[in-house]
Amino acid sequence: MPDDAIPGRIPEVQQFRTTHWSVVLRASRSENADEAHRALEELCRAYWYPIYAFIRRRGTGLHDAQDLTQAFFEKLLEKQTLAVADRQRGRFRTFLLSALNNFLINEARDAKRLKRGGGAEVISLDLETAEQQLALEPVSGESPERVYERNWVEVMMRRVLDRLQADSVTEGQAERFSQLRVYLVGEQGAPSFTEMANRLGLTEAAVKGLVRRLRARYRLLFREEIAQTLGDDQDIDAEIKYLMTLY
Amino acid sequence: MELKPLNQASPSCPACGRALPATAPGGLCSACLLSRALLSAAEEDLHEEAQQIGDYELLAPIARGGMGIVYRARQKSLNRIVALKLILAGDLAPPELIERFRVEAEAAASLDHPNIVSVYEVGEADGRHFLTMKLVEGGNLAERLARGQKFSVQEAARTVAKLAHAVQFAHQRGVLHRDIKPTNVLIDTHAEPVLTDFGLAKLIEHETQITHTLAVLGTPSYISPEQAAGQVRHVTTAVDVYGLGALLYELLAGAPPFAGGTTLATIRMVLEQDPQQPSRRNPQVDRDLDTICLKCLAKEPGARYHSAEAVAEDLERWLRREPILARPAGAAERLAKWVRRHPARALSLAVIGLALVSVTVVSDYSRRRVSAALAVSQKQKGEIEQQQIAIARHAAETAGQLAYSLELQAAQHAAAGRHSSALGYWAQVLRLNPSNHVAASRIFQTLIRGGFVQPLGPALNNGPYAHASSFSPDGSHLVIASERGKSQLFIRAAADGKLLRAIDAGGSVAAFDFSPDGTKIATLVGLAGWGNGRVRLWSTANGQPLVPEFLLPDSGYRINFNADGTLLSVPWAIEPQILAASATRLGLRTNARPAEKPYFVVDMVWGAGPGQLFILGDDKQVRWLDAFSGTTLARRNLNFAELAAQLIISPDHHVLAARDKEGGEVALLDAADLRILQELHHPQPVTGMAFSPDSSLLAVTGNDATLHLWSVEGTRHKLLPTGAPQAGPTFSADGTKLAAVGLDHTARLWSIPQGEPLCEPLQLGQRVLSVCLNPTGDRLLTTCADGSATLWEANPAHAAELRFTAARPILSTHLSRDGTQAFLTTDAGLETWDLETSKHLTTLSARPEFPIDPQFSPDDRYVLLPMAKATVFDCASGISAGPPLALPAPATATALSPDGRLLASGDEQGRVRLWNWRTGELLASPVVLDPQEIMRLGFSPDSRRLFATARNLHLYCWDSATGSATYPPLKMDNFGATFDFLGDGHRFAAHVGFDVHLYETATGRAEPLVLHHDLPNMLVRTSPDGERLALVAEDNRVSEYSTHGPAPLISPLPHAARVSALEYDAAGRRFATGTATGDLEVFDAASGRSLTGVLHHGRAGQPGAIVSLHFTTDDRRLLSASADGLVCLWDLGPTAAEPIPGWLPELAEAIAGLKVGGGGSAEAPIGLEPVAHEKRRAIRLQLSEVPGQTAWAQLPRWLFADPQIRARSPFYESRHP
Repeated sequence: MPDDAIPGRIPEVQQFRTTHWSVVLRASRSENADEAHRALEELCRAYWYPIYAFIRRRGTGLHDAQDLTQAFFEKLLEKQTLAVADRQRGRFRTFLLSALNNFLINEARDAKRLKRGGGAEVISLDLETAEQQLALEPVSGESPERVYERNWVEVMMRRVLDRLQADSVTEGQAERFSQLRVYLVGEQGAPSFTEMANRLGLTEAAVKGLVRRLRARYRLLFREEIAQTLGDDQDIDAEIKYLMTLY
Repeated sequence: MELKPLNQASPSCPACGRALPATAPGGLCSACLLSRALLSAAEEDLHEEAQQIGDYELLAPIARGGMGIVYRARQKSLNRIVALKLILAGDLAPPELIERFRVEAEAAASLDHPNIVSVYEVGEADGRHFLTMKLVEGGNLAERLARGQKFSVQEAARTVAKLAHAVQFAHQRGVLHRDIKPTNVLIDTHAEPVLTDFGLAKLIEHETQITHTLAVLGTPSYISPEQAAGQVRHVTTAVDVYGLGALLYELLAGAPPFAGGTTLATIRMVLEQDPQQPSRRNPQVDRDLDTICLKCLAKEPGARYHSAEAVAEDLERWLRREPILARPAGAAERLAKWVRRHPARALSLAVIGLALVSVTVVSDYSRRRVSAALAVSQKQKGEIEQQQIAIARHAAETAGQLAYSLELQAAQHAAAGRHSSALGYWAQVLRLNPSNHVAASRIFQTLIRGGFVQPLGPALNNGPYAHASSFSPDGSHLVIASERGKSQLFIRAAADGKLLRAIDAGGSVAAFDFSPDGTKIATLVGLAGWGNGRVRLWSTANGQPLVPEFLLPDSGYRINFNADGTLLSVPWAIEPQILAASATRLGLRTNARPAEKPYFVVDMVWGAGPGQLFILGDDKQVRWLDAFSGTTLARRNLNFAELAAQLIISPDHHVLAARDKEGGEVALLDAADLRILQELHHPQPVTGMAFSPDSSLLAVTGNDATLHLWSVEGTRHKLLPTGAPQAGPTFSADGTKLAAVGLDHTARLWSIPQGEPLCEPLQLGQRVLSVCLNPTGDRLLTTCADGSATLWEANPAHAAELRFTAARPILSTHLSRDGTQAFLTTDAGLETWDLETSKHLTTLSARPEFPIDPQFSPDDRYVLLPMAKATVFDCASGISAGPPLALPAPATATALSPDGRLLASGDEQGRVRLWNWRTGELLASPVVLDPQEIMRLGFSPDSRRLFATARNLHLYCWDSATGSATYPPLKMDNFGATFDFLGDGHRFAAHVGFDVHLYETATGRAEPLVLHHDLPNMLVRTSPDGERLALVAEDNRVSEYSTHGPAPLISPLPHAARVSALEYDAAGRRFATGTATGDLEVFDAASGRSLTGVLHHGRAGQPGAIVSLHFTTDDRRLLSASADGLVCLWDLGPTAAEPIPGWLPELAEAIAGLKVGGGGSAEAPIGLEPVAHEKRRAIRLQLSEVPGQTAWAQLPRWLFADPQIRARSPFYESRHP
């Protein structure tokens, strides 16, 4: 019986050849260049926050940080980057950080300062939210790289949760989702299923079924999200296990 | 007004104990989220659920099926290994379904046959249902076929023969399988085939739609045509014969008989096409085996083997090389099959579009084509005729099956209130069968009641991503701003959308604003967050720039004129820009950078004073800033837990409203001193808010798919459910309408005074970016992501039912024979109303004393009210019409004869009297043996007999002239018995508890027919011709029976609440039901299908039980009355006799904006797509002038009429020419 015939069960995503980062990695061939560029742009659009936070945390002022971030992405999206990425063969997460480190070193050395508003729009940054997030972050003695990676995880999670939320809105089940999402991490500390069943006006068994489905969907979306940042031969599970060591 | 407690950020995750920082996404622990993502589904399941279920310990999953997961499990008490099947659907199915499943599963468990999997136990533990069976370790047939195992034709025949014997065994014990396919055939260690999953397919039968069936059964390649068509009542043993045939086919041919690319394609093949002969795919298969296989797979259940045993026997004959009994298809049938296999070549007969029921409709052209294709001889012409009849019938059936599933979808959407979608489906149903009067009636009812708003004029094209729009303050112009393209600002005439000016503003227009006098438009060019913003002023009249462009040091996202039009504000970052606008230039008036600690400006609005600015900062404070001096004159802290997002000010500038981004919080502040007036809490993030023009209401839209209307003064609060999240609410200038963008690709309009949607959602078919109403509120503009804008008339056509309210609660109603007056019996007397004018005419004050309907004389002049004094009143004057009667005691029952002459009275002592009520003369005193209280009295329709029921359970029948008994009293079982005469009165029905007994009136002889119902009957009605009987049972289902036979005529019709009224129309073709919650529905008596959908009699939130329903004598209208005194008169539209116009489906689609689309997915075989704007306009132009005076012709004329002169209903004119 094919998996897609079972209600609520979504087939595992095929992760080869279509994730953004694997497309970028194959960009050495010229015919993929445009596609690869677009893929890289997509990735940058999604994961600019850890970069911005990294820069701000070094003590850079708000406006300068904005400039630097934009300049960094502008440089990144130049075509030469793709060739470098091919040789590097890492994950997008590590690639981005090492590229940033190189960029910042060069900037300090050259002492060039870009004028504000001088460049073309590269990536649209939601600075208000970014600053809010930054303000909420706990101060820790950890290395900036570690914090960067944790930001990375947070961005990824947020994207997945937003997608789940958006899906639930489309299905007209936004209220239900907002109640049930607490079960994504388990049942401890959350209302008992009996109580939730009362709250939602469902049977307890129905709530369990919904939770099961929600978790499966979360898993799928999350793995899809991670897969986008990995190349062909990289293991999703290994990446997740690594990220878990950050906590 | 409670203050929400501040969020206490919990310091650690309850699951893993790690610190939970404030940055945790969604407040959830990242570590836990990560570890959850690591688990696979199976591990998750096992990780989650106890690995114990009752007496069983789950060891490992073996397989996943449509019903659930099968585990290897150990039964602890017996210490044996079994297969345990966990039913997935068990979590979500209602209890009665589980019960049915158990009954079925237990029946299957009783089957003891070597080729049927032994079922051990059917159980339930921890809310999960499971069954355990013998573990068969050889896998299933599907796996073997997938692995490429080949079966010789002998093996195939032997296997299927064995299974056929097993199926026969089960059939004899009353168990159907319903789902025979390779995955349900297990192979045991002795290579014997074993059939499993008997009857489990019944679990999903409660939803008869194809979609759900498919979702659970998976591939439809093996299901029988009757199951695919959802005709679950026709599922018999023949479906298992079909299943055996499909199994045999796959073993022989290597593939199932039908396998389309998608589920939908496969279903179509199952319904319409004949399978290729197995011999064509496998040369080892001979003709006889072909015949056996194809006979099992016949579309007609009757054409298949009549039993599974017969299949087994023919297969065994074949194995023994004996002649088989089945005959191969004859020439005629072969032709039919040829036609079915090549539908395109055999023309359109077999596919959507035509429902032919007689051969005369087959065109000459097609007949010639078919003849020519076969090069027939004269002799075979007769056979061709036969063929065409078969083709035509098959086409009708095929179209019928598709129409059936479409009807189901239409009904479901209608029941859910999605009338646009329902119309789209009904339109297609009507197209498939143009004489389907039920579909036509539903379309009519939806169109007149739905309130659909129509697009005016062609779609207006603006630059891509037209994200903002506004009418000018005087309503003469329309301005649309877009983000890209050569021009970004479009000035149009508001009346028809004609483009007056397309302005190249030099970049994306991020925002614009009209000056208060409407003569100028200020634009802010440039995308927020990047580059410099540029401000420009344009003349509304001629689109010319008025002053040189002003370059801002930064960009922005909003621009607003202040109250007197001298200043402009552009909020941005920490430096809100204030510009002075003079006739010749824009100058930076002030750099209002406050001296205090910098904050981001989230939003800002102008107050009433010349330089009065209110700013909402990211520090969650609202400040009053003086624009000239840059000083902060007042400030207030908001109790927001989440980020601040928006600030607006009421039109009278007295009240400010601020909201947060995701917490659902809104704060109302007094603009004079920034004092917080109210804190409003919403369950989901708020997406937009707006003040009403009179500044008394605040409308809030949010992700919770509800429109909240808050009163600024008190805390009065209205909730309007919207069905989808909305954004960007905007009021009409008179405050009676509210428009909002629906995040489901719609735009919506509400009527504020009524607190209800004004019309069906406007279907746009793509993302809607903005919506605005013109100042007079009769025009609406929507703009979409592709840059198109549409003007709509904001006044939907809505047929208002006639409604009026009686002074007192209503007990019963009566309609005068000429349909002009309604008599309402209340607890205070009788009210007479004129139906044409809905005016109250007279009230007769007299309290009814027992619960029987008043009876009227045939000319409606006199009425007998159920009173102890048995008085007949003159309706018009309200005084008693005859002399007081010399009753021996107060009456407990009274009746007036249908001819109006006689009055019968009965009392507590069992004394029955017959009177000439006009003269007061006593005519007869019928004798009641063993006198008891008289419960009910009634005359036969011919007035010749008087009936009575008494408390001693007897029914009496006397001659009304003489008072002598016609026959001895009849004994009833239950003293609650009531009686009804059928038709002209030759028979009557007495309904008692569970049974309805029929009697011959003249002799009192009971007919052998007794209609027995499972539940007590609550209400019984007979059709006027006496042929049909409808009754309401305790479970709120309405059943209909013929009065001549015991079989029910229709499936019981469920109702959501107690059915309190039931009535047939005069022709007996329809009946109406009314419920205790104020819903009513009209049904087609022959088929039980709803003709109107559920109509709501009362006001939302105040339902009164419907006490009475009456069809007017012309059957055109229905009167409903509820206990709370409300009376409504409904238009039922054209009768079934009037021919349905061919343009009705297109009209329905044009009004709804949706139509049934082409393909579909597995979830929804047939979906809806939007109707192109141009098409809607074309239909409007074509049909607004339909000639003729028929009821149907009035419909489009009324729908498309000018709102100013549109009549109250399509039929109003015909009644009031």
